[in-house]
Amino acid sequence: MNETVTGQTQVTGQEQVTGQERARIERLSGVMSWVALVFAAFAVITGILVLWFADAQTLLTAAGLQPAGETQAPDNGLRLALLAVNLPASLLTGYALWRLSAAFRAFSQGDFFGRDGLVALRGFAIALLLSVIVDVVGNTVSSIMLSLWLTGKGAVAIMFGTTELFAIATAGLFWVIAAILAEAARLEDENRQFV
Amino acid sequence: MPIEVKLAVILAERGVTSRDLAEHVGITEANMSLLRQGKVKGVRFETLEKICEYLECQPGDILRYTPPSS
Repeated sequence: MNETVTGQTQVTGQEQVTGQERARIERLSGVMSWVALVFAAFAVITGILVLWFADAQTLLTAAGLQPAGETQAPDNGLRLALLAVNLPASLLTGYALWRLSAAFRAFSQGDFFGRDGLVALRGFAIALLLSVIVDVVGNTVSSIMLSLWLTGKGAVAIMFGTTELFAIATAGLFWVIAAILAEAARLEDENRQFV
Repeated sequence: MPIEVKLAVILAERGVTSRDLAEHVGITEANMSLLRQGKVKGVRFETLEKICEYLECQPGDILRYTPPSS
């Protein structure tokens, strides 16, 4: 076996590979933590900017309505109402990504099976699922508000497609990963009591 | 627990310190202390092998089963 001596302890080739792999995962997690944080800020800021600056056509299309005929320009009252209805979904998405960032931060510090990382990962899954539900509800309410406010004719659009299904599947996947990590943490804790 | 760890006795008999044994086995002194006090869930064969090698004894000299009194 390939062995090197470092100080008092002997390090085998296998342990060196494991250490390098661990360092690589920690570095990658550090980068992912920042990426998730940037996306969190992006999700919230974009949500606000789109709702505040988009024109009537864009808002109607985004709400799943077909813009037909004359439409009024959205006033500040409508924009504020749209923000109140749609911002919670953006905030939840931002919160989900912030939790994901916290999980990656814990992994980047070598805390792979720690409580902080697990709680953050579970928080990400729950927040992502909630954001999808709130987004679907928000979009439905928005479609009613926009159709009444801009076209004068009430209409409702319920938007639930592959994007929402994919988000729910992702939330479920991360929930399962968090559960597996919790089991791994329990095993590591048990293993720590073996000498 | 019905399994009793008699490591402290063997160490005293051999005049070996916990630190020397921990260093030979490759575990921390804290873990060796826990093992000496029997406050661990288990001992790996690898650890047991190194302890027996260093103290020139048998696993039975370190561990003893005492049936719980009914």
